[in-house]
Amino acid sequence: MIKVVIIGGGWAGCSSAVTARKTDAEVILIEKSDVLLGCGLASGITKNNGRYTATEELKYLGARELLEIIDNVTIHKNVNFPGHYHANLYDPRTAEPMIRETLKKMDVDLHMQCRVQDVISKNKKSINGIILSDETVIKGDVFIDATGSAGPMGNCLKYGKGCSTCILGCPSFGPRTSISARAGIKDIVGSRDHEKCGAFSGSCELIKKSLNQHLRARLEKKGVLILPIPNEDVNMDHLDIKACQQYGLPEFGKNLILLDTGTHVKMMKPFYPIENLRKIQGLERAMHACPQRSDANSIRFLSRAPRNNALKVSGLDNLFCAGEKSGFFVGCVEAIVTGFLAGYNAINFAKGEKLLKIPESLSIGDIIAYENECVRKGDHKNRYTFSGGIYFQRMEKNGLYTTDKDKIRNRTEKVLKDECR
Amino acid sequence: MITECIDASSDYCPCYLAEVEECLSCSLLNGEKTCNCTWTGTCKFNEFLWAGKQVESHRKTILCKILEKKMEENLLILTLKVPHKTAVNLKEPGSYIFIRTCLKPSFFDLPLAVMCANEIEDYIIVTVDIKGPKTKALQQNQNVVYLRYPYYNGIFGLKQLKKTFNSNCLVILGGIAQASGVMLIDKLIENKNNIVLLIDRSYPFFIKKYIADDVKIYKKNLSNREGEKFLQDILFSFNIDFIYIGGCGKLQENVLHLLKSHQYPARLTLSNNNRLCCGEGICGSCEITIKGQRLRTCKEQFNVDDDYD
Ligand SMILES: Cc1cc2nc3c(=O)[nH]c(=O)nc-3n(C[C@H](O)[C@H](O)[C@H](O)COP(=O)(O)OP(=O)(O)OC[C@H]3O[C@@H](n4cnc5c(N)ncnc54)[C@H](O)[C@@H]3O)c2cc1C
Ligand code: FES
Repeated sequence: MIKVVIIGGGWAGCSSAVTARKTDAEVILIEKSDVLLGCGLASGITKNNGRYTATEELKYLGARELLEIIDNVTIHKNVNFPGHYHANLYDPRTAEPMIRETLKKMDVDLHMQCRVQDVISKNKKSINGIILSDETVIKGDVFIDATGSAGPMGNCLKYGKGCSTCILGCPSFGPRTSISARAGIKDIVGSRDHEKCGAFSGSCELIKKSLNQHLRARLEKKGVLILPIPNEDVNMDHLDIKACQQYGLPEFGKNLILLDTGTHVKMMKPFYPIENLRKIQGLERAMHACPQRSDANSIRFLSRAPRNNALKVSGLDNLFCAGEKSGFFVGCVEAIVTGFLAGYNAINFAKGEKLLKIPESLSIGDIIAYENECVRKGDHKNRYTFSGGIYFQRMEKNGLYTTDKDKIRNRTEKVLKDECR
Repeated sequence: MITECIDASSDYCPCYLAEVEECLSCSLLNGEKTCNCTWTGTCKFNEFLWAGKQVESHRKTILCKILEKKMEENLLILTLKVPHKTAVNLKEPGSYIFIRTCLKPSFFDLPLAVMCANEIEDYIIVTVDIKGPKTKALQQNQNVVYLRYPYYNGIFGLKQLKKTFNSNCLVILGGIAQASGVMLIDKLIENKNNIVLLIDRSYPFFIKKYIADDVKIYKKNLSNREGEKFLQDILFSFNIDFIYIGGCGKLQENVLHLLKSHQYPARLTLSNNNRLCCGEGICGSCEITIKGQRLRTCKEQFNVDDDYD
């Protein structure tokens, strides 16, 4: 029986696991912390702009499970805020238990609180097994590196403002490990300007109960609040240091944009010093939820693996990559999409079949190819998401962006017919 | 190959190596661009920045009283009074100290395995094979010596040792390195292991009185055919799954060769026989190369099973 080993239980890893388990392969998913979803636990915005299109494409390709869970925990539909249209807001914290149940039901072999520390690679060309921090060895036929690109502490310290005790909990569960780098393939490091590497996560969370009642009621009703920032505190620099270029618009500098994601309130700023925050009406008693520091956030995009458009890591026969590990991608849909392809191709590889490259007539194939092309040309600064920034512009320009379900279904079905006869 | 710095996350971490971007554990403190650590429970980079980018505490040299001094053939056995905390710290297999006569400068420092540590009466016992300038100088008639401690990397494969419970263990000792076997055997007994002790007869068996009575002891000359045959019989008849070789390089080589030729699978640990000078990863005298990777053996642990050829 084929044995697939997936490292990292974020959206990407979970998506790979679901896809790979649809065959009769044995699927092992290893996560260092005690919960799934990784950075995704701090997410909550989806279907905004081109993410709508990508989500529909993925549904028609047959990867519905995780998307349906997101639908189930969606609290606000069709919300608009500056530069973003028809967004859905969901609560990732209530999605986690559901995803875990789904994976268990599908017989994915979950190893929680297990951190991969090293790989065994006898001939340096393929991976034979991985070694956990307690020295357990897990062998496999094919591996997927879905360890993300956030942290670890040393990076957040060197390129950020120190560990902000974010959702990943490096001090408790140990640091992220780049599996591809352990196997001898050098990571590509994202930059934000000449000297600085990586980028700050672009949002943080407030405890909902710490907003005043009036503000909270308004937020829960509309899903969004746009609060002007006092002039003296406007800091446009924040826009440049953010991972999420789709939220790098001037409106996000001048205003505090709050979104209702259920358990917590999502604040569209990488960080916001608490004293300044409390100057704003209604936020006099505001408290940060995650990360727990009000002046820092996690650093991301320091660990992208070189790969081809089938998401196979270059230089290794049996390692695939997904999520932020596979590109300078931002977002859950982006992670689910790449997770799907990596899971699919891992199985194809193990069976000795041809690897799938999703055609560029679909946005999900196009983003994978376009990102790769830009990175190969040496651009390590841009981030890619269906929801904004340079990639959404491209989607619009090339006619890939649409909310017309029939159109999306037709083009997806055509691809299915061509590729999977 | 992942190696581990024995001092990582200890009281003496980060050390001077961090100041010069040579840390053996943290990639950022080793001049690399990104963090790529194996995690020993703390972030050394964080500690280093909070300490103001300098070493906060390093090991000091202290004057210690000699409680007892004995010569047995060519061996000098010293019982040394140490602070209570030191006796506790040094009661670990693999512990060693640097010692020198109080009459000579620091380049007389020599490393010695701690043979016994007594944390009730606060003393340690070490054995010196009188050989060259450093050891000869120790014979001078003084009742105090300089000590620098604690150091821990006297044995490779300490992780393997700590994981060994209820197993059949073969401890092979010979030469001056047998001193390192005493606390190792204590540890194995504590962890309810069954021990077979094999002593190389070509050297005085000076640790005899420190070994528990119920340990099975065999004495053989291990450098000939017969010894080899004997070793082979022991391996198979006792179904050995853990082996410690505390002896000179030649002895280690012979045993490793034998294990290899039989493809005998066992957890392996070895005494650190390299020439140590500073113990701090600075001077480089202890450096060896394994699979193309350079190791400062005064500080670095590696997995003997798959890394030693
Ligand atoms: C504050 C914040 C807000 C965000 N908001 C949104 C949003 O609103 N909408 C949106 O679409 N996206 C959002 N994102 C982005 C989105 O969450 C990420 O792009 C996406 O989750 C990346 O998924 P991933 O699976 O690639 O990586 P990760 O989520 O980083 O997952 C990697 C997983 O691997 C594990 N891991 C790492 N190393 C090891 C190891 N050695 N052994 C075992 N496990 C290991 C980690 O613990 C982690 O669970 C946000 C991100 C952040 C940080
Ligand atoms: S003894 Fe000086 S570097 Fe190891």
